Amino acid sequence: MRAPNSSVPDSPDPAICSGPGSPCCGTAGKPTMSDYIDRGLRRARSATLPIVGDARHDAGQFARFSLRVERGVVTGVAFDASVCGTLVAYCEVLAEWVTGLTIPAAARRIRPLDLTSALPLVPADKRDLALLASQALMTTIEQATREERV
Amino acid sequence: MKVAYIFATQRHTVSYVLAKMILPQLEQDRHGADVVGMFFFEDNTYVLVKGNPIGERLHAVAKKKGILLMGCDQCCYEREIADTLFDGVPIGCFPDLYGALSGNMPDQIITL
Repeated sequence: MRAPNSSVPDSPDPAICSGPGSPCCGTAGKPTMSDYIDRGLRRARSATLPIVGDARHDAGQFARFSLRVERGVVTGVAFDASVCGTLVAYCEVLAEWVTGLTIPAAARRIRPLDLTSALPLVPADKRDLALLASQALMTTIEQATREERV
Repeated sequence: MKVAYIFATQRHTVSYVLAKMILPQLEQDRHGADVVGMFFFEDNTYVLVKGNPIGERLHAVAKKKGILLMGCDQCCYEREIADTLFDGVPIGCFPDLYGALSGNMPDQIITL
């Protein structure tokens, strides 16, 4: 039982909690850029999943996603990317966005402008990496679409 | 001799070594070496935030002398200052630093 006048809310505030898949005790704020980098670096060390997209390269950076799809739903996302904090964070946001979505819904969710808006701290000269990450995931979604049709 | 400085430790690195030694010497053209770049880690990145008084002087002398200033990207993101740095001051990691210095390579890189 918490103390009277405690600033801890009774339930998570949907305006500040990070959403499905993120453990929230009701006091957690929105994930920061560093949170996404940390989670992304962990995800980047995970095993490659069955559906592997083509790597996309730009300006010396690369990103490649892999997916696990079960009954048309994306149930797992992994990626391998250049160890650049910004790119890793963008890839992680995308991975979190599409997990749990159907393939068509995942394809619709990948919007580079939404991605840059999600991480407003990124300086303008680094925002092109949102496009690189988005294209890399989109090629993997397309690959998944082809494999689903077979 | 061309040098680059990496500000890696915290304590008095910026407020003393940079602000009271290197920077005044650069302002007076008597540092004794051509500084081609400075890279800032951890809390040292705060010197690159617009409005920082040491940073204002540093930014001015860097512009005048063509010195690269760069902040560690993850350090700046962690402190939520990546979008508040002086104009033209990039953030990056080692590949970005080496790439930025590749056209004007230092003879020595000094870690402070």
